[in-house]
Amino acid sequence: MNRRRIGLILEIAVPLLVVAALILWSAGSTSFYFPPVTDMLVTFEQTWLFDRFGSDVLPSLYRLAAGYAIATVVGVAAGVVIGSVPLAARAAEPIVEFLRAIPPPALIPFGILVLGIGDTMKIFVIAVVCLWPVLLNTVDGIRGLDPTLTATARIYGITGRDRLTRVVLPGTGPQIVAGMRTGLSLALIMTVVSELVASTNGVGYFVLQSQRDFAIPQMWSGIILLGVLGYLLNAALGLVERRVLAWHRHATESAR
Amino acid sequence: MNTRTDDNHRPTATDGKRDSVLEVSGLQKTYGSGARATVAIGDVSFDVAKEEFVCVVGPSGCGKTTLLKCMSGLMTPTAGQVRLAGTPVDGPPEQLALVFQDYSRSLMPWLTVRGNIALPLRRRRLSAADRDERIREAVDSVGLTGFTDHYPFQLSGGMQQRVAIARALAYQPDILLMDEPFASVDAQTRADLEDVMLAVRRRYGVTILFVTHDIDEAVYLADRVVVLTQRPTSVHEVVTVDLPADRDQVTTKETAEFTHLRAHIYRAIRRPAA
Amino acid sequence: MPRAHRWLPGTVAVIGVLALLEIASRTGLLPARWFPPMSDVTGRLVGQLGDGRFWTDLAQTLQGWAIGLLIAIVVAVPAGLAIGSSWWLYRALRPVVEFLRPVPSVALIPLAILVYGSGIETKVFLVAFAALWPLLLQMIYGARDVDPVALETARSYRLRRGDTVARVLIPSVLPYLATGVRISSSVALVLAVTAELVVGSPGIGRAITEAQNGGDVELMYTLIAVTGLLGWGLNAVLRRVERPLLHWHASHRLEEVA
Ligand SMILES: Nc1ncnc2c1ncn2[C@@H]1O[C@H](COP(=O)(O)OP(=O)(O)OP(=O)(O)O)[C@@H](O)[C@H]1O
Ligand SMILES: [Mg+2]
Repeated sequence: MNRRRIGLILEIAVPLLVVAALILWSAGSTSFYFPPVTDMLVTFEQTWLFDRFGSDVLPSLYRLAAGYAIATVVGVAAGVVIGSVPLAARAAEPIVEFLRAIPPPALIPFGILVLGIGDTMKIFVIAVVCLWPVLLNTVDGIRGLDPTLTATARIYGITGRDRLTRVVLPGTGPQIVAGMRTGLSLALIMTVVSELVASTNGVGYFVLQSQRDFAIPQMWSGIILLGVLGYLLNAALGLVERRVLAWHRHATESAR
Repeated sequence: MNTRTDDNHRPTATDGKRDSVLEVSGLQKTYGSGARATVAIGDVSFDVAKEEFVCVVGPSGCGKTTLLKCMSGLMTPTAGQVRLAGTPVDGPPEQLALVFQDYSRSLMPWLTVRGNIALPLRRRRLSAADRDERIREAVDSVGLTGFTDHYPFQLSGGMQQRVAIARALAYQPDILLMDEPFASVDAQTRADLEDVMLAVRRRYGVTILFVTHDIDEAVYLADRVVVLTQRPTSVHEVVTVDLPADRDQVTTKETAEFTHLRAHIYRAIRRPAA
Repeated sequence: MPRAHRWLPGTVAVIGVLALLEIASRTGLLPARWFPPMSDVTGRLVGQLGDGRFWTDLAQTLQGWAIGLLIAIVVAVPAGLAIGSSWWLYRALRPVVEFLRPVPSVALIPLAILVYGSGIETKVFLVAFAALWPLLLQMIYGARDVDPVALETARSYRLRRGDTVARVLIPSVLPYLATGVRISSSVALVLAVTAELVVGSPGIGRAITEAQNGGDVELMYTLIAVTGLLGWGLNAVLRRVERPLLHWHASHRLEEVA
């Protein structure tokens, strides 16, 4: 058997083995904190498929999507402007560096103060936190645009909307997506934290509430769900990236 | 033939007879400032007549690319002026196209061959049929038939270079500036492309300024050859090529006149270096 | 370009923004109840410097950050090196790591409260868990990126295993270690503050919540600004520390190859 084959088998088998081992090892568990994994999975099925899906998962996803979308649009727009005007970049740098260095959850008390504890506050803090990686990466991308490409656009009078959608944004695409990737994990973190701090529904709220009620399998099922969500969201962005940036993948591959 | 007239055309001191459309006068370009300043172009003046084919030859690094960037309005000269149809150039004029020496980096890697050629045509507001016809014609003339749906990374360097040329041809400019456009194609394709350029000039009456380091190519294509000196660059000589307008890769290059011109320019290029 | 020229736009922008905020809250354009004048906030910041409570909070946040980060380094560096330099381990564990990495560490907060209560242990656990992943990944990349030619060279000169590690492996993973520590450090700070905010472990994060609950808006802004300065400062310090290290690495490596 060749190494490729063995590698592939390992990649599939080991995770399955890990799960199986966890199930076996925890089977007779009487530990209060770590109930049998099978209990967690049964609770997971009962809770999330699809009993509390509408009441907790959807609100969480809505907040995440809204904040993330706002951050992406604002971040790209501001990044294009700042990146295209060197003076703006230098002027904005210290302010952006400072705001970005604030640990994101520290903004939640500010959000609560100004916007209350509803969805607006959560969407706001998610958006603010995801904004920085998108913005900074867009600025980098714009500044890194090949000067020959921008000169070509000037020569052929490609200006305005055409220039933005057919030259600048595609050329900045790889960096924008890199920023969106960082932003996505931040968005999920902020969704959970904001629901832990102040909420009446959402997956984060559910996990905290289960812990307070000592409903341990429920708590674990929520933690597992958050892990699955993180994994799926990341994978979904990867798929989008493969489609949108196919040219980039091929171009860098053939350059090697 | 082209029958447009320029209301504000004035004859220049450089040449009273010719109907010059591009005038370069006292052009100087210095990169950087202070101790690290590089004088890329010392003092260059020449002109190009309407529908003329002018080749520029000169040693590597003497500022040919810089010259084209100044002429196309991409760069502001440190001193001197470029005039197009009598008006000073201060930005890329609409009726001008430039084929970059850096051809592979001038193609949008996210667009297909068709997308790259079609992009500049959007401002031309052509009908879809006209546009497709122009693209097809340009692609055929550079020998890339069947590659319109390929991406640049799927093409060889020489093919990418031809896409950049096809893009300029489809744009149908009045003035075409080309910076060593045939540098990475094989000899046979190169000969074909040279004939394409002659045909394009004849058919559309384009004014062409063509930078090359190949003296044979310069003589074969040009009505006049501008020979540049080494840095700080000036015009060493402008050689008029008195060959018949109908040229042929074999018979033209056999003539004594051709051989003579070639040797003359060769010496002219060597002399400033010696 | 003159130095002043480079810093001028940024300085002007900072002063401009502060001045705008000041005017906006003085004139009532921004409700003063929520946005106290910047001069007051700055005044409070200076006042805090003489306050013992502030320094205790700061020390507690830094303590959680440091212990958690240290644990993450101790666990992740050897583990990452082992996984990255063994074909078997890499193949077997990569999907597990890939799956665990995007799990938001904050999802474990309720579990941590349950197991450790609301003291420093919870904070340290969360910080260590979250800081582990970036370091682990960087070390895996680093170990996989060791120049095979350098390894071959070491083998052909019959360097002993210890020497190979010291002269080939460590120099070439050092840049990855530096990057990993820097990323993990900012993640660690985020988690330390989060634990204080959510769980109520003592530190700057809890002080922010208390200020907000107590209606001391100026103090809240002051402390938020402090966390920003802290994050910025830690990052700047780490960049400073890694620069001579990497410089040493580059020159060392040149000698190694020669
Ligand atoms: N952006 C720049 N900054 C500083 N110096 C430059 C820059 N671009 C070109 N130069 C310098 O100007 C001189 C002329 O460069 P240019 O590219 O115009 O030469 P060229 O004649 O086109 O050369 P080649 O035949 O190799 O294409 C060179 O000495 C080069 O080093
Ligand atoms: Mg050149």
